[in-house]
Amino acid sequence: MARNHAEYILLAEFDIDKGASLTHQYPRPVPTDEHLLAELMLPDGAHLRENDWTIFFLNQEVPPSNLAELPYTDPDNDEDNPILYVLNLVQTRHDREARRGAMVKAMAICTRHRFLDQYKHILFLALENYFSSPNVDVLANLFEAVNTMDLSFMPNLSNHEKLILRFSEANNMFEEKFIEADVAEITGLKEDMRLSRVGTSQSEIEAEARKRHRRKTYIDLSSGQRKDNITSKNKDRHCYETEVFYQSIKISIKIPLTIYREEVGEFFMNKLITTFANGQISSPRPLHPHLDSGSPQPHPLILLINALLTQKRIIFLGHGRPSGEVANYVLAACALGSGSGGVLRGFTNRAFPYTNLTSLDQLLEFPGFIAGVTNPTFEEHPHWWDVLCNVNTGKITVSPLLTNPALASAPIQDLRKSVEVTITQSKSLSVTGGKKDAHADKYGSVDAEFIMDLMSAIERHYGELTIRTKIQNYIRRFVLLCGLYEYQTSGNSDIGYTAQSFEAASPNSPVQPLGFGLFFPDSDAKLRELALNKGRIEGFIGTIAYEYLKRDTQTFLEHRAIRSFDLEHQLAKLRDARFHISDEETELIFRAMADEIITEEQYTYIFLIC
Amino acid sequence: MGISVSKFMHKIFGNREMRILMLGLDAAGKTTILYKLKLNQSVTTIPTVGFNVETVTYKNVKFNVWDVGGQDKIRPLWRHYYTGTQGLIFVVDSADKDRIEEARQELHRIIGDREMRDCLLLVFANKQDLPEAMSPTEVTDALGLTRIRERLWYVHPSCATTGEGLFEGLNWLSQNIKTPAK
Repeated sequence: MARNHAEYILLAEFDIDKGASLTHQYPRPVPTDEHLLAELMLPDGAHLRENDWTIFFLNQEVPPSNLAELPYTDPDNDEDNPILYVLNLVQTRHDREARRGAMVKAMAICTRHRFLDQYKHILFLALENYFSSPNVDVLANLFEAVNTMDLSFMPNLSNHEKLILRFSEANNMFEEKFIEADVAEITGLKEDMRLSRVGTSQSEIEAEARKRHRRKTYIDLSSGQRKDNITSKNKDRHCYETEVFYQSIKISIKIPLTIYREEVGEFFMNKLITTFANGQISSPRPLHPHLDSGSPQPHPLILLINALLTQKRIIFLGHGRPSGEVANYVLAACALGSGSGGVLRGFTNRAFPYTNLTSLDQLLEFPGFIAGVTNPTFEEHPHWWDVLCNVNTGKITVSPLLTNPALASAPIQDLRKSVEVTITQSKSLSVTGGKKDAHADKYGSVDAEFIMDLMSAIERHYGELTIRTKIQNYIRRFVLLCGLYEYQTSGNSDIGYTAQSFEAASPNSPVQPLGFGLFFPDSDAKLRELALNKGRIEGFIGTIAYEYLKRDTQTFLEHRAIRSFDLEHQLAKLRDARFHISDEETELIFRAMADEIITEEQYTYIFLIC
Repeated sequence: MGISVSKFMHKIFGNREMRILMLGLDAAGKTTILYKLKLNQSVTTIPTVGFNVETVTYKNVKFNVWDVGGQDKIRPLWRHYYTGTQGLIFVVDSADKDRIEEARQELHRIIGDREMRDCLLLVFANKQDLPEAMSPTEVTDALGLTRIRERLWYVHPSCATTGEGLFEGLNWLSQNIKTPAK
């Protein structure tokens, strides 16, 4: 079903007598509390600045307490996503004529598109128009302009294709996906010409249309030479370009094609990382197995990642900051926890990029919310949150009221017990080996290495996408570790391969998976890392993100291209310089690859994980 | 010993902090009072969307003053600011006789809250420069303060735009504050 690009246009004003009020809703009222909506559109402190861009979400549903009832949505498809993303612009204009000296008005576009930042220009123009002629027609014109935008030829890339495109610097990657659009563009040009020049031959029209099409983008030096390759060479295929006409002004819209579902709007991961990497964790503070895991003394960023993975209630507080700025932190945090949106899901559904006291009751209903606020009152109510990140100081505070998790159901306790054993084992191993510290340095430092890598990438001004990729890899590794943990402790896993996951490549060959899951060069290293990560793994099991992962894993196992062994594991094994692989095993791996990898889909998969 | 010396110094110089919450109906003059105290100049204020918070130091007392918007729809949010409040400044537009009853109801709702039971109450009978302004005594009666027991309260006339009466009010608060805030 084709949906409108903009579902609603809203206008709110700060009424001198009544406070925040919703003046217009076009084309119909949003099915939500009007007062809460008006308060979100007029964020705290709006009277202190001329402009404030903000983002908030509508239609979020409180997840069911029984996660088995969690509605499942297709990760590759946006159509069934119920959340409305709202881009809002609020302006304060001082005016001697106005009562009490100023007018505060806000206009918002509610859309299901995650590239909502692209509407900034048009929204700015529309609000300007509303200030000069305050009536609902301004909203109607904006609604119509946005909804006449043509996205019918925008290619829909699968998550795998997105991943490949993200890694690829080549601007013409997946060129074939755009051909339809280009052809349509040429057809359109042909139609135009046919109307204007009756009597010209068909082939002339064709040639002229192609020429014109090419002229739009580059100087044509090989006219008529390459008939097949008619695409526009210097178009960046990481984006889809289109435009909106608003009151005869052409506004170009560039839609990024490589963003995942958990990446909403234009945010800067760099900013989140630099703010908190250089900050500190408030002390004294309660220790918590979910948060103090992965490293003996977690780096502030690791603590934040742990809080995200184990579904803690997280607040980003920026007192005196524009609401759009705290929203940036929340959106980046969603990407941080979800592995840049490429590994885990279910974060944006409980994200509140900007919220305030009016929506407090609603906020507190969400387990593990991630919210942005500008009101320092939140800092004084530690019972509302588990972790508070102050964006002004870079300080992360763990709520003194955060208690240890109730030691949940029996199976978890079994896991716990078996891991205790693991810890003892690994301890004794290292002690007998007499190189405890060396081991700790070498294997306890996955987190430390990650942080160093991240920080040096930022220092060297690597791009946003590089940073996001590093995060994606880190979260991916954590997920593999979780799968391994489940398998080690219970002999089964809902989120990774098990011994039963594999099928014989051909009816005659034996099932020989050659090892699967996260690869470790030796079992000591494996036990050590499992023991170190136990706290946050257990905190992650049973979260909303875990539930989605469980279902996505089942889908993956059903549809995976390579069914007889774990290719990722084998590649890791072959690449690990610390591991001495025997000739026999090498041969087995290559033989398995030669036997199984035949189809194009399987080759794409290799391409993907290399 | 180091600790007791520093406590002693505190007593002499009174380097204390006090959390103040400033409430009142819309357009009573809260924000004007806040910025007159903070900047000692009269600023033209526009309605507060949400809140303002500023630190004002007067006679070695650091007042953290929270000024929260007063429109009726947002008054239910006032309670979120109560925690830790040591002094309430309730601002009344002395010239707005029509709404003094509304102000009385709001004031009693605030001080009836458990979290506010120990805090001092300072009422600014503001806008004394207007000809039809009620006197402090009239305001005291209209707000029903005489019936209040077990709470220190004080009504002081003020004119936010000129600053008259404001520091006298803060002075009363600093003299009656019981224990220094941690």
